[in-house]
Amino acid sequence: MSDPAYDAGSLTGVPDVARARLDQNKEGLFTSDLTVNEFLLITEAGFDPLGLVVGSSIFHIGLQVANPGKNQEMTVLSEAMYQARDLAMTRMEEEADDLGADGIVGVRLDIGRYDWGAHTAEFIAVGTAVRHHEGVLHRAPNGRPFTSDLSGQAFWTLLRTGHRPVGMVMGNCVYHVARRGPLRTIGQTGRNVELPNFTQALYSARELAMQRMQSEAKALGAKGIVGVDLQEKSHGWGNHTIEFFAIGTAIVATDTKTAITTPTTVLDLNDR
Amino acid sequence: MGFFNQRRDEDPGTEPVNAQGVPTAAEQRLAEITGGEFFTSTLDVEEFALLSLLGPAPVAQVMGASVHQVGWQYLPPSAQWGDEVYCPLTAVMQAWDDARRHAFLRLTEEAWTVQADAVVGVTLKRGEHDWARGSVDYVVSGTAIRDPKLVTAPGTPVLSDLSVQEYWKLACAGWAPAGLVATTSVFFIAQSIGTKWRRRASVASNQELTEYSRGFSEARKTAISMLRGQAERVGADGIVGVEFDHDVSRAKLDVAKFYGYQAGYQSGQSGYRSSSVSTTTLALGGQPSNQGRDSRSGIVVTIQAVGTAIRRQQRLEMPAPQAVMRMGMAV
Repeated sequence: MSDPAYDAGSLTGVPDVARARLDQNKEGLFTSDLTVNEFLLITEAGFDPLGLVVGSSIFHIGLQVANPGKNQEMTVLSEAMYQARDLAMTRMEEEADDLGADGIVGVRLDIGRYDWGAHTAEFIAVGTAVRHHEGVLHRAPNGRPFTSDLSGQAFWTLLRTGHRPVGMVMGNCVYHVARRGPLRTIGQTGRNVELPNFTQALYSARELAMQRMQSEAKALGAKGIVGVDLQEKSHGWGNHTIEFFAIGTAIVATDTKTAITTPTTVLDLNDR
Repeated sequence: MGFFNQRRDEDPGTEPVNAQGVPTAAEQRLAEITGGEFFTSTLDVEEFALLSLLGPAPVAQVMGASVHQVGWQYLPPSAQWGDEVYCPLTAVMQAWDDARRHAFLRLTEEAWTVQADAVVGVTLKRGEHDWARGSVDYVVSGTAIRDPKLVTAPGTPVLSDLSVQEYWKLACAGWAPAGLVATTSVFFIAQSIGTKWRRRASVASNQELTEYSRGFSEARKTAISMLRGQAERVGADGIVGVEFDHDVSRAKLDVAKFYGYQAGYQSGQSGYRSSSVSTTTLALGGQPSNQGRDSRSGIVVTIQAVGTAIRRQQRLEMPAPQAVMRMGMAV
């Protein structure tokens, strides 16, 4: 899978309006979609929110015809879905970079579909750019601002465990599930049997997605991945073609060794 | 069936699998992790933080899957006389059991590849796919962890659907997971012909539908007794967090005849699952009565139960609970 080149300071994919908005943010006004609790915790963790950052990419997804009798990955579709997400994320990172941010928290990655474009989809990434008060650099080893889908609370807790996020990592796989041949179907009629080709299709596709996510994390030099979300969706390619998408936050250990205190059991005085 | 058997090795798959059915890709993915330098997990940050207190490090995200075809299902011959019927649909139950057992086996196999002691947060996803009508499928996933305190037989990591928070709380209170228990019980319930007509005549009055009540409780009881059996086999002292899930659908099943095959398991066009049944439909006795006694119309109740079996172990130091008042909004 290709990785669009990323130059620090580049604003290639960012429209003019966004540049004006970012300039406002640079003058000191911050925007964010943080809740009050998240805002307080992020500040407590030593970070200031700088502004909402957005990346978007409208992508035309190519065509690929599957062999009906074959379990196979639809590489054209896999690549399209991956590249589109990567473009949206890169543009969001460029905005954050322009703000001089260390990273982005609370990233949401959505896919929008519109009536006006068959085979097209909008990939949107939104998050809040943050920077450390005392200028301690928290960027990922490759110089990009870190990205994470962690909430403010989770971000604070993670820093307290002596780890920090380096980036969201993802892997996907669009897979075509073979139809059973007529002879096979007749041979299995009325029997209680496992259907190995279906099992294998589901299983292999998920494994490929997870493996790709894992190699991304390795490439980032991460220590591990937390909060992996494994989704299964069919984006209008018909019954037999499914996308498996794995996304999580890669983390590295920091120098500060601040273990969390032993939790105490609490008796909640609120009704609910 | 010899002729068809010969063709069964024509596998359309492209990805190689090992003897247990775990893809080679999974083995490679897990082999990268075994060194202990790197981990993947479905744990959220709170769980990750808590796990570092427990001692064991998260190891890897693990998974198992299986799609299983449901064989022919008949009603017992006694069902042809038009009496009340409630019977377990053994072929369907068997299919669910097999699918789940295979998926668990593969999950355990993956967890053992990374030398884990336990798997936490196991989620069971029962799938419905258009491309596999008339079949049942299970996908299970969770995070394999190491816990030196947990006593397990070699090669058998303990599965549980507990979150790390729950795992920790149980450990403090002196309990350890003994295994994940899950069962499916599928029952067919049909009214007798007499009851059906009596109900139609007295449709305006409130009445208990006794055969359905009995059938439902029978299905639930079966699920629970199977759960108990599984828990006893893993040497557990109790089961926590059992979740029940039920699904009711209308079906018309053929009665088994001694003189050979009739048609197979059928319930309309949609295969095994169909739309849910309203209470009015139940009161009126399901679908209109069928003329012949070769098949019976009724409802199929599917009860799924999942829980974690636990057993006693050494109690940890647990501080006394502290009273707090949350300042945030209740969610």
